[in-house]
Amino acid sequence: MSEVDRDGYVYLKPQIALSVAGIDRVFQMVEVTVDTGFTGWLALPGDTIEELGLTSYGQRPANQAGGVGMFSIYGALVLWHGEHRPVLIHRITGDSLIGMALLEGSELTVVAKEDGDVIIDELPQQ
Amino acid sequence: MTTNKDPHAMAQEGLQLIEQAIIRLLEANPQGLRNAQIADLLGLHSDFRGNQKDYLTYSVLGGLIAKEKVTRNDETKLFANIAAKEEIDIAAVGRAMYAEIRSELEAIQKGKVIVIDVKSGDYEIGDNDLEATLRMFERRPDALTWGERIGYPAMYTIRERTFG
Repeated sequence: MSEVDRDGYVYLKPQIALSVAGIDRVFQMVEVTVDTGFTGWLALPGDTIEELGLTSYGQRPANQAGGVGMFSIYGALVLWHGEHRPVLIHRITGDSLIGMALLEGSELTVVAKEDGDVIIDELPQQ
Repeated sequence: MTTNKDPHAMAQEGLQLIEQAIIRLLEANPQGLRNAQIADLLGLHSDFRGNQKDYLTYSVLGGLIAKEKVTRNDETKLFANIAAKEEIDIAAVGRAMYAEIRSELEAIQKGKVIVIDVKSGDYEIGDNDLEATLRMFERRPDALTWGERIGYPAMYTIRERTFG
């Protein structure tokens, strides 16, 4: 869960690999960073969205530090706890993110050290 | 069209007109059209000694794809206009549509999510964006949606990221 930046500085980054697909159901692995401050499902950069051929759904407003920003959203399928789950994707710049909407109903464990694990377990159904 | 132009100018003018005709046709058919349908509707069926059928429109469509004006869904083989989708300012139209029903909804549906199809004005209300959006696309597969969390300034929170 660590990454080395251009200056050789090692920083901790809780990442997991997810299987994501568009309507053609051709799944691709995508590395996503756990972002508990993001309230959506997944956020992906434009080139990943184009590669997956995701269907455009429209736009949504989101609170950001500087006010309300506008994001394009797309439909996708993600392999999640052994099932294909439909999700909404936010188009962003920068790292791919997994947010709280997808994590809801799971237990998230982050071992915050250089070779630490990020574990996401399904909670028993209420 | 005048014929005293040089051949290059004539050809360019002709190509441009065919391109415009295709784009107009695709605007009128947002669900998309196949190459054979386009050739049919424009009366541009073509062949070479009985083979290479409808390559004329096919090649013009190839040029429009290269110019990023048209897309082709490789699964359904449907060509569609890119500009048609982007011509609508989704946020502006969506907000205006929402403003008309806002006060009524805030009184009874606060905290729920509304997803509006900005093309038809139809909307779905649900507990979350995913649920309401999927219901909308089941009903209207060609929808273009705007969403709001009723009674709140924004639907999501996302940090230090910009639309890419």
